[in-house]
Amino acid sequence: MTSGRHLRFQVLGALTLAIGVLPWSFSASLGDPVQLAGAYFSWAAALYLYAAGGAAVAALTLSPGDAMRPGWAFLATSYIVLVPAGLWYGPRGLGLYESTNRSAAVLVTAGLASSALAIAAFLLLSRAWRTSGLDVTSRASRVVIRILALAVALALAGPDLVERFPAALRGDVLAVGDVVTDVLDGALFVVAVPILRAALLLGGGLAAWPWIFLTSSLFAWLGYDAVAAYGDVAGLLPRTIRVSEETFRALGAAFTFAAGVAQRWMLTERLPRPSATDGRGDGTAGRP
Amino acid sequence: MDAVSVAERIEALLAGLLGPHMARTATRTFCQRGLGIPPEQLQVADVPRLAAALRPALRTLLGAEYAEQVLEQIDREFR
Repeated sequence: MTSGRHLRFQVLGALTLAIGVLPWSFSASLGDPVQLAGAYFSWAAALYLYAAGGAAVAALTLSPGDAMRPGWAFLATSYIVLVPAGLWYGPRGLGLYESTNRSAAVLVTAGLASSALAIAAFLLLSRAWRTSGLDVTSRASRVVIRILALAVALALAGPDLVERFPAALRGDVLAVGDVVTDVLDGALFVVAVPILRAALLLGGGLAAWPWIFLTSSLFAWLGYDAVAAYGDVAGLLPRTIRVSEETFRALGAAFTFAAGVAQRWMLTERLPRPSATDGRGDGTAGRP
Repeated sequence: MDAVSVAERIEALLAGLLGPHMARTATRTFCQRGLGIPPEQLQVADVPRLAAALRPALRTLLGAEYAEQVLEQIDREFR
């Protein structure tokens, strides 16, 4: 395998990282919080469509009946459902200025639907990896990674869960939405653990790239949750918290797009020619 | 060609796609699961059976169409 085959994937990854800088650029150039909220409003809608487009490309590249196709389709849908709700709700002043909006029930409902669809997507993609039979790591190591993932999920979702649970018990609809969202976000990270393993075990091969970008997307969404959960405690200003959240949102969505495109590129790539074996069996014979 | 080089050639074919580590693991795993032999004992005549053993895994991970291309390439390599 030549490194040239990986170049366009690497460039895609670098460009995706660059997208994460843009929310800071918006913040630097738009001092007015209302204007900035408006910019983030449009930006978020565009990002969700961008992510959905990438995942849809992957779904459409695979054939009907392929194990991973429904996973990509669910992932695309998980982003699409956020767009109409976000457009209906309008710009959010959160962290930028005091604002009044329409009822958040639609936004919360869309968020719940999105989280549930994302969990279904990652379950299907993880299942494809598991059923391939290529993951021969020991059961003990898989359990340890799951426990670590659960600990991270609890650390991120736990504080908000504890804070909002009493209100949810009193029947506050928004609090119920927050609690369910916290649980779904935590579950998402736990069910997606096999995707992290796939990215690691396929390292060096073209097939790794979609999994690497999916993993990056998951980590970005973890970052989003971490800033939301601990930004205050860390002493960050509300505006900094908001810009950081937008950064992680951008990375989470953009890496989903990158994953979908990488899946297509991988599946339409001319098959790598093996080099004459040199005893290493890693296809690197002949590399200077 | 000795038996070891057959396994190594299949690993090399798969390495570009699955990475060197997974290519080695897949060859070893499916030699044992599908043929009941270690990769060191793999003969050219065993390659179609190894390809058949790899088929479900590759179809799951790569999709049916691309997996068949990979298996055809393995077949051509040893024809």
